[in-house]
Amino acid sequence: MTDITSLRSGRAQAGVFRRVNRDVLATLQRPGVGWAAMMAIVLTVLGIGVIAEIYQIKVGLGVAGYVPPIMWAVYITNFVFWVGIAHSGTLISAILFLFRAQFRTAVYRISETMTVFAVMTAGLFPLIHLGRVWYFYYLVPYPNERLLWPNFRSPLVWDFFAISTYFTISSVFLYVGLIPDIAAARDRAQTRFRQKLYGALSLGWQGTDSQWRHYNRAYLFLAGLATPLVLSVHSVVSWDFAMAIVPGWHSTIFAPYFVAGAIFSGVAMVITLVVPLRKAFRLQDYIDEYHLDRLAKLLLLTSSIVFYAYLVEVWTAWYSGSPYERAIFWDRAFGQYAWASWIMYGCNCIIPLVLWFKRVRTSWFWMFIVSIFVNIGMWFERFVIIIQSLAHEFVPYQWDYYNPTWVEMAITAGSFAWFLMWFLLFIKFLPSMAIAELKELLPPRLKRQKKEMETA
Amino acid sequence: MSAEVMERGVRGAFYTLEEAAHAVNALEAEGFAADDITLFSPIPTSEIEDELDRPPSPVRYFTITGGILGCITGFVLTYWTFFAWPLHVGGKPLSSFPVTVVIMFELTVLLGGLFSVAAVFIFSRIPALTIKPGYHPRFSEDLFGVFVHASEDEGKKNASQVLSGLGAIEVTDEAE
Repeated sequence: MTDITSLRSGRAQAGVFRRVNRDVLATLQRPGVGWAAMMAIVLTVLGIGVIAEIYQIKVGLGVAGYVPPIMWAVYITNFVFWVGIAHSGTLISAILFLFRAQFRTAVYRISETMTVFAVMTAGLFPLIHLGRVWYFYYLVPYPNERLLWPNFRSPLVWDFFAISTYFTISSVFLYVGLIPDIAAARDRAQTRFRQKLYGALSLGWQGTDSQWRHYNRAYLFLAGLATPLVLSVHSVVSWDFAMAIVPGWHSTIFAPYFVAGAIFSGVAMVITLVVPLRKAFRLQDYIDEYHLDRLAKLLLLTSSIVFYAYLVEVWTAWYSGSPYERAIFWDRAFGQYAWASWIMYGCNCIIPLVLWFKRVRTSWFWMFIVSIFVNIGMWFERFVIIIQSLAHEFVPYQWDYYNPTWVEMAITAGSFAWFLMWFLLFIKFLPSMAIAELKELLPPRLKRQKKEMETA
Repeated sequence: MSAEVMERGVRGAFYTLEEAAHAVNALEAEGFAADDITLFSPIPTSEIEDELDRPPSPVRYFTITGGILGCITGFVLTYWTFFAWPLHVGGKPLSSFPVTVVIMFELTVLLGGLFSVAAVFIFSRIPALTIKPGYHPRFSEDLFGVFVHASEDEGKKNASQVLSGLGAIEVTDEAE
């Protein structure tokens, strides 16, 4: 057991383990000027969004650009967009965990964090859209003095259950995954504040055999439970639309179409966040072209599914023979919202085709650009589905055109700021990479370094 | 075992999990009770379970209980609501099973997940206010540790010999 080869191998392993701790915990050092500047911008935009929301509460929903019959607009677009962003986090952390996809280890913490903060952002929009936010509790089933109960036949109540379950489970999943890493941060905390903070958050974790045994089992079960949950949540969101008889909404492909779209937009957001983070924290050895290539392939796969769903929708509309269905898709391509539709088709179907080239898939710059386009395209997908469908319902007399107002735009910008604010706080206070799991499944570059150390 | 005795023992640090697990098995063979030996690991490897021959974690019973409870709650809540707040729509029946499926599913996942986490907390004895004896900050970094509770000098000596004979890079007496 103690021969020279195994000793050398053990030393090399310990050296690499120390490096992982050092590099990941270095991200928690005192924030620099860049971080502070980002935070200042984010807080300013958030402030503008909050002012717009206060104005809307004071004056009423009239300040939003709703015109009958377009009574769902940018707020619901944002809601669906942010729920969608949340999805790839759970895909990467839970589904790819069950599939034992090794590339997930380096990026899953960032994705999970993104999930929780995206759901927190999404959850704001039904309240904002409600106008009178203080009536939100009508959705909650509890024995109230009016003896009222929610109508469980409404997909909006299903949504309440789906989103709150999703938020709870993904937060718990994130926190459980964080405990061993917070313990590592606790053991190396320099300041008293950090010692107290990590000491409390790590719950006295010590990584004993008994703790790991129960932890591993629970983590597996949580992943197993989160997997169908992630598929169910966006299906339920899609039923908010598909259960209505509005042409362009009332479709059986909506659930898989929305789930694929959600993962598509979520993976794009992971890339958008990972590219600058890797550079800012010098994590090149942990997240390299191998990870980027895998994420790009996931993006390409989901883009193909979304592309296929767009084609199926048009085909179904034509084949159905329903004049309303045919009219809505004709209007989508050539009508008053054609500009939005073509942004959607261009960003979601055409631009991702460049991912067939490996040179693009392994280029940080081009992947960042493609991911931004996908984010824009997916936002417009929701915009088109919601607004264009409502604007062009059954009766031509009802048709109208909706323009978002400054209030809606300010709140939308504020939602991005709200999301980024939490993300910026997270990366400075908690480990943005899974230290313990990275050691178990070393990224390719660290594996090579370990081999070199063994032979040195 | 009294608290005073629990605080005493011998700690060995190892480079690899295999060595540490081997030491645990050797200590058990030497007559130390499994409850008196703790292995510390910086990585979540599932090999720990195989190497140490421990029984499967009882967390699964909590998960299934939570899941079943959630499923039943979803069914009862929706059906009870159908009749407590009757909404008559076009002479259709008050209850409709398909809509309950969504709520049953969501609550199954919710309670199944929460029960699993509760089980980890209960069985892992967290949150804990104090750090157990035998722990060293490097056990969350680069080393694997084995701690043996032993109050008698003879037990300590025996454990030290086993640990250093099996590749421990450092063996310390945790007397205080």
